[in-house]
Amino acid sequence: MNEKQSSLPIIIFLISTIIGVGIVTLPRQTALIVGQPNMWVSVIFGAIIAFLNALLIFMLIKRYPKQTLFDFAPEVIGKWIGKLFSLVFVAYAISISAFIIRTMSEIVNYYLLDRTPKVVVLAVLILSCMYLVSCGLTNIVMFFQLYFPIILAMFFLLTILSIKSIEPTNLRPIFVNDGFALLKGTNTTFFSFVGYELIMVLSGYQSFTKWRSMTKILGISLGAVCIIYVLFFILNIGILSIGELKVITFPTIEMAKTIEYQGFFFERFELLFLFGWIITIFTTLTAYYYSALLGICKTINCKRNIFVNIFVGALILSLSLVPTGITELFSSSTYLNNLSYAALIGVPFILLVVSVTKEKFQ
Amino acid sequence: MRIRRSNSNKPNPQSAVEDQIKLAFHDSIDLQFKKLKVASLDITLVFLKDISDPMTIQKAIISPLLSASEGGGPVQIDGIPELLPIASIEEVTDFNLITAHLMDGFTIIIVKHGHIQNAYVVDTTKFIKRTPDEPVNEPTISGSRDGFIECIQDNKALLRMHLKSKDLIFEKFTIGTDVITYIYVAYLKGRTKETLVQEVRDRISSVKVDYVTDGGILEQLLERNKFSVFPELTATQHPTKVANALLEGRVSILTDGSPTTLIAPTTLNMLLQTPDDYYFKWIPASLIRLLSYITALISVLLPATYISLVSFQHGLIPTSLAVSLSKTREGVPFPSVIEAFLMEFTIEILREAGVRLPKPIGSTVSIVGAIVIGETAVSSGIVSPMMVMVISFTAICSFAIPNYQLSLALRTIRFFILFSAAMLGIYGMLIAIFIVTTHLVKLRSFSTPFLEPFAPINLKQWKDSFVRLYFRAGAKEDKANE
Repeated sequence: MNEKQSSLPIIIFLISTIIGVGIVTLPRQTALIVGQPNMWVSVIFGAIIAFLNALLIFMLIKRYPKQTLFDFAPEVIGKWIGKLFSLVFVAYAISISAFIIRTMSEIVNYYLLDRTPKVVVLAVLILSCMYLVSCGLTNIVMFFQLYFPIILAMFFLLTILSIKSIEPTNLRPIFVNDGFALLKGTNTTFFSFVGYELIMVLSGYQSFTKWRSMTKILGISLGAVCIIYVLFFILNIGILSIGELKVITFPTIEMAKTIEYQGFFFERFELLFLFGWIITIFTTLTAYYYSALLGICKTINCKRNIFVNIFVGALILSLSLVPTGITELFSSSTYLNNLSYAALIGVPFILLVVSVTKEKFQ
Repeated sequence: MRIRRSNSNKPNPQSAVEDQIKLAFHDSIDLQFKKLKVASLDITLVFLKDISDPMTIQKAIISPLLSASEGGGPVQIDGIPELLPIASIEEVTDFNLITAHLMDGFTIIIVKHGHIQNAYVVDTTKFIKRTPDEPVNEPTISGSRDGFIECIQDNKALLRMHLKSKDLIFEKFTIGTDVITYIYVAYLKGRTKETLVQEVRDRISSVKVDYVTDGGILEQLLERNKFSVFPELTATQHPTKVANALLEGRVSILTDGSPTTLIAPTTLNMLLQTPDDYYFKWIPASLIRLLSYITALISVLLPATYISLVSFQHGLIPTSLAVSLSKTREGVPFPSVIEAFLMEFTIEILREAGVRLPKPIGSTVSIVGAIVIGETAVSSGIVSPMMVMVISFTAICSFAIPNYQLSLALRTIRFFILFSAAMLGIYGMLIAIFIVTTHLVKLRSFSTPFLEPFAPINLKQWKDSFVRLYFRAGAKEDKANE
């Protein structure tokens, strides 16, 4: 059904995957590191680095059309090391899934269901995701397309509604150029753009060979996410101010809470935000879950089946229950960042180098 | 399942065909034989009395034959068809075809001359049928008012009348081993994808059952998603609806003896449309379209939303509303979840009772149900007035859904979402919505995604989805190639 090789579904897939936890937690993390009103510049830096990294990945997958990372890694670097690389990527996908759904469950427990055990909140999410993942990539891509307009509409509406409450003083001074702090912030913001690396998995679904179309896909998706993030950074800073941002755990939701329209049916809009945001979490989880599942199946050479699916689901669930509290959860993100460096930059870079040198010697 | 009867009725030149027919019909009393002698030929007419027209037999068969006999000239055995003033007469050699034609009200002419015997069939059908009138469950405001009936010939005629195109093609299929039923597949050549037509043909050929009595049964036999509540084929009794669907490159399946005509493939978008949408100006028509999408959403989500707001997220209700809500819930003995299920259950019973009863009593039941039970349930404190309002508004919304199959499906989904909301509030509702949409995304109707213009996104087709944009005179629409 994919004769036309249209790039819109891929863009939608990437945007839906990239937007996730970051939009809620990133403003606080960045505020702690950068601590100045123009910290949204870090977001743009992060996007640029992500884009460069994505191009690196693209240079790799361009050499192996219609193949996923898990297919070509053993081919490039030898069977066992290739499988090890695949497993690194799988481990990364599983831990990032566990991390995002744990963050989501903290928020759900905090704002929606204060007495429901976390394991229930997480298990129903994983079960419904398991169902979607078992339907295959074509259906996942279609699912993302169905929800994409809803996500966009939610962000748009929230922006429109909250513009009124911005206090310009919070945004000043606009250009105090502490370049070093901004660069340090980039290290944090970069991780809210992860998701583009899944083109290594999507490449089995649609072959990416043209520089032009790929830079377009990556540019649009990362650019769109960057715009949304910058917008929400400005809203966050403008409404809550830097000082508050540093102490609030989930600033974007608190920001949505401040919107109040008396006399309108809904007086509070955090529900609207949470609704759209849980959708983005679900799409992100699905994308990583699918990648992990595919990776495991390709590594142990079996078809995608329900047992592997349950295994991956159980793995994500148990991993997500490991941190005892929210502090520990956030501190675990350091490990996650190291794993991300390995999976995002290390693996593709080594593979690319090996692949190029192999070609040179032949 | 009964074992198929072995095919032992092959025409045997030794025994007379008449005896074989007699045997096949077990000497039924309405099987009639009429013997004639024309020149040197022995002629036997065989027909079933009640479904064949005696006047036609008399005028078109018997009298020409007799006058030829009186003429005294020699009559050849192959010359019989030329003697009869009838448009369609054909020779048959297969005995099964003879019995099949007899059951259609045809007259069999068996001509014998020594050892040679020929059989011809002549259409003398006289079926009992009603006149095409407006389908009861699909009323339209300004559309055409004819509807399909039980006679398949007339249904084909209606389609021909609504679609005067030489591209309109009918293909005939016969299904059922014990009781045969004729199925016609209609499509417009050039507009319909050949793969789609082939898939329909394949599915119809793969149906192996003893009998099919209605289009609704055929629908379920043709479906591939056994565990889905959503219809894979649209059932309609409206010729205009079928004609429009054919123009969009769909295939329709007509069943003999049933006014229900099936349209494949079906999409959610199609189920939420009515022919009326196209007959009025596009701005109001678009608003009506939008309304039917909203009512579909409300009918699925409203009770669940109410339950999760009342029993989990009180904080999200505006304060003044929350106060008045808690006042109305004072003294209600059940938790609101039980209350909701109770009311939903009552509404479903009332609705079924209304359908089953004859019309004059049906309206009484709805009055009793709506006013007496609703009013007294509130005043006796079993349910809160807000709950009655929510549930009855939901019911009205589900009445506004244009397609009954869809409204049935959404009723089922509503209970699932209500249950999830009762367990986990807004969050559970959202998860339930994920599961339902996953199912919808997975669903294919004859290889077409059920959520077509929305997933996969096809912005070009959005102009005829939740809105209906204006027609452009002079612009040739190229639908089949999309």
